[in-house]
Amino acid sequence: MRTLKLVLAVAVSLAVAPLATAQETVRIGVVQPMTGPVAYDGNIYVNTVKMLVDDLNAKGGVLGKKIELVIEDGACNPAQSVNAAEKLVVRDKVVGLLGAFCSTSTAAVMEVAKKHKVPLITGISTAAQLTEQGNPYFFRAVATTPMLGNAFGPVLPKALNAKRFAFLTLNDDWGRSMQASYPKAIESGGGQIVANEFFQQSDLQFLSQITKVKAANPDAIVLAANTQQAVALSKQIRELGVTVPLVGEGAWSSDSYIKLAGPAAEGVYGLVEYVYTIKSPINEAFVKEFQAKLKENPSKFAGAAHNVLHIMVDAIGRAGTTDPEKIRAALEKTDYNGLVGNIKFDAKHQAYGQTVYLSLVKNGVPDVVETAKIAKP
Amino acid sequence: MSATITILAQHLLNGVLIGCAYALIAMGLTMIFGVMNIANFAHGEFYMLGGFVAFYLVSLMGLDYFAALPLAVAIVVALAIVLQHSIFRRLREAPMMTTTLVTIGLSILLENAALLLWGPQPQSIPTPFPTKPLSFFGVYTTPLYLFCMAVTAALIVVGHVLIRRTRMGKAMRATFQNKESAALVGIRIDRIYAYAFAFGAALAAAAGAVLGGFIPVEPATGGIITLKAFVVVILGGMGSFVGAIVGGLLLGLAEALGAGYMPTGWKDAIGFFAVILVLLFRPEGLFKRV
Amino acid sequence: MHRRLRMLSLANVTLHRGRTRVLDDVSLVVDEGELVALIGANGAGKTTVLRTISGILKPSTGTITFRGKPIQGADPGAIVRLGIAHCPEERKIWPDMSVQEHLELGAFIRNDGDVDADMERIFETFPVLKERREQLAGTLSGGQQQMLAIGRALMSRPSLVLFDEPSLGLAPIMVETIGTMIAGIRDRGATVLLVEQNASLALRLADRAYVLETGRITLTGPAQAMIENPEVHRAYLGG
Ligand SMILES: Nc1ncnc2c1ncn2[C@@H]1O[C@H](COP(=O)(O)OP(=O)(O)OP(=O)(O)O)[C@@H](O)[C@H]1O
Ligand SMILES: [Mg+2]
Repeated sequence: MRTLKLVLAVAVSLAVAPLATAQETVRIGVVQPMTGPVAYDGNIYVNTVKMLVDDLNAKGGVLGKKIELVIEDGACNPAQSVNAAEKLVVRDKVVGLLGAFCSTSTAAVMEVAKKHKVPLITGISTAAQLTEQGNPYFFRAVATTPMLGNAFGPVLPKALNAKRFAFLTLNDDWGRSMQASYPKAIESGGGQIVANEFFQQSDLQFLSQITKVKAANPDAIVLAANTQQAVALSKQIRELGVTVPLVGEGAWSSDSYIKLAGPAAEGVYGLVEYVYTIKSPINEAFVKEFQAKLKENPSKFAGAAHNVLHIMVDAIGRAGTTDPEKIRAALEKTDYNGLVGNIKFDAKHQAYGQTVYLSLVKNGVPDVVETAKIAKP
Repeated sequence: MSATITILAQHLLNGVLIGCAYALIAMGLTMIFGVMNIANFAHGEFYMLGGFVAFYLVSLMGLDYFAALPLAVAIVVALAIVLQHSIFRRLREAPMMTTTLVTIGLSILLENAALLLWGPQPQSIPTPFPTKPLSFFGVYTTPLYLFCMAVTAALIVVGHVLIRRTRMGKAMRATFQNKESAALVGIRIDRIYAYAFAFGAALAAAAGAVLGGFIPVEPATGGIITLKAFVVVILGGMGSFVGAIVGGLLLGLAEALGAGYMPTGWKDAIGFFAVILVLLFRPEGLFKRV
Repeated sequence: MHRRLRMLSLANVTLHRGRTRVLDDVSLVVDEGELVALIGANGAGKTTVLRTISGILKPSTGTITFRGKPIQGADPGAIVRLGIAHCPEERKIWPDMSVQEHLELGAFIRNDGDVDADMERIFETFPVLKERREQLAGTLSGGQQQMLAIGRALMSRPSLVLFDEPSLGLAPIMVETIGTMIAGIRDRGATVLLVEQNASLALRLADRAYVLETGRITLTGPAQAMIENPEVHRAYLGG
């Protein structure tokens, strides 16, 4: 009998607890992969928002209340991400969502946001069609591959002192969209495309593709690869005697790539939305705190987390209420100045105006050598 | 040399380098299949472990590269012996379906063990070779590539000689071809099983340890390697050593030349296309089991 | 006749495969220097008797002793090391190994220096094998494969040889050669247990014989007496 009472008491207190605190904090839900194929990067994102929320709360939070994060693991899996989002909205009554990582998961979570009328911001998913659906509750605070190409394509020939460009990218949506969108922009800057080659997600070595690209005699090679393949790719390119500059979307300015590729990372250019070497007071403060607390340099996923969290909190502040509908309206009027400069959303809720960076690895450090601005689409 | 010939020569060299590795890995797979009648879906994990252990010994324990390679192989072989003794020895009479499921389970287990031990990052084994490429008439290679080719080719020859000429090799082949009469002349079948499994694992681990110098190894690498090895073994003939060697070189060259002269998106398809062709016209593979 | 030394004896051996009892209370003995025949119809269990002796199958009950020591349940490797060679049914050669490799592996259990000399002796008996010593066994004719299987069994220097239907599928002239060969093995001092469906051959060569019917020994006696037994004559010697 006593145990039964105890169980009942615990159950009641558990059920009541979220309601009891709901009035005292502003809850923001996070759906990110903390397990599965991209767990490493997902965890960086999660640790970053946790650190930043502590800072914001130390400065008084928002609307005079503390911010409370509720974090769920989406595992880069659409079904799991939907369950996580449903739980955050229905049970935890969050006023806004941040996520998800993989574009397929974000597409699934978008439907949950729309159903329950709660705003959702992604800082990572770049699949073009996400903002084409006209979902009023979805916002994307990151440039898509074609936007990045449009911003940097015209600059690349001069920045790399190259005329003949060869493409060697992953054979997926990302790589294909890169090979479809970059060439026009590069040509407008006086460049010329001499090879379009692909590799598969399962490839461990790229000797044939590299030999083929080399035969086209390019002045620069444009790459798209995640860390694993980026390491092998840049090593093998040099081992086959190709010395031209490499420039890539993806892992090319991240600490883990630079550490794993070693000397092969030297002289590699990265096309990125964020790099920790940006020279601005706000970024320098962020990097300093990040290094002190998380013991590494912030990656582009940390940068994304910084952007979306502040954009969400800024909108809540301007809305003056925790009503998700009002927050959504405030998000549309975003005019946020952060790590990567000014960010606004267009009619489709696609971010523009932010700065993107061309980094160059020198002595293991990805220095910014060129910047461009994302034009209003 | 004219440019087209230089490029052809470069593709051929790439093909032989990768083909030797395929052959070495496939020899181990075909041996385990032939002797034990086990389709070892954990074979690629021995490659992966060979690479990771070598990385661990060189990078983290500071061991000399040339000492680390054989030591890494020895460590993986020790693990293989434990696995064979504790799992596969009990499954001697089990149907193929059972053993296949067990090897699939084992591959998942080993991959996750590697993930826990070493994390998801790809690792390259630091080598003492100069990284500057060597050029022969415009055909590029590196000292490490040449070393890899020499080691894999030498191991293929050594493996071949062991199987053809030594008493144990002959006993293995006899077990392969008729278990009952092998047992009747006094060959201890369970010992042959243990040798075959250890030897097969050794070849895969050796490939992983030497190739790990330029193909970074990560926990998930094993799955891809297993797939390639199966393509080679089906191509060459299940259970045929000569088939594994010829099939490995053929697949390496076909991939290199195919990707070199066709759209590169098709590279993987080439191997599978070759398998389908072979299965259509020679269902037993290019070579019979020997 | 003076008493010979008991070499092999099976006492009340029963063996099941699945639920069926394949051997039912089988008892038989083979003395040193004898050539004993075991005859019976298809499926009677003859092969099973030999496979049980050489350790491939384990009896459910009963004992098997060799030179006075129990050997039931031992594995084939141990049994061949005791001196029992088994020349199996259907020859079971290794098709992709050479003649020479067969003979080398026949001597797998030995590490004395006489292996080469023994191989020469086999080649003297079967000159055709010498001519083809590098040839793969799968390419030999049926008769040559049988010679090879016999040669392989003899290479272990056995004191007891178990033959399982060595005449199966051979041309009549080959059957005679093999028969002479087996008699020769006995004459040179080895003991032989010969399983045959060709009962007339087996009884002609043998000193004594057993008849096996659906797993049971139904008749035993000197070979000559068996030949004269009208029942045996009707059932196994074709009229
Ligand atoms: N692997 C097996 N599983 C189950 N039953 C078997 C097996 N092998 C043989 N048998 C059965 O055991 C019985 C005896 O078979 P065995 O091969 O010993 O006969 P045999 O006298 O040698 O016949 P043959 O003259 O045809 O060689 C047969 O009824 C057979 O069906
Ligand atoms: Mg029989």
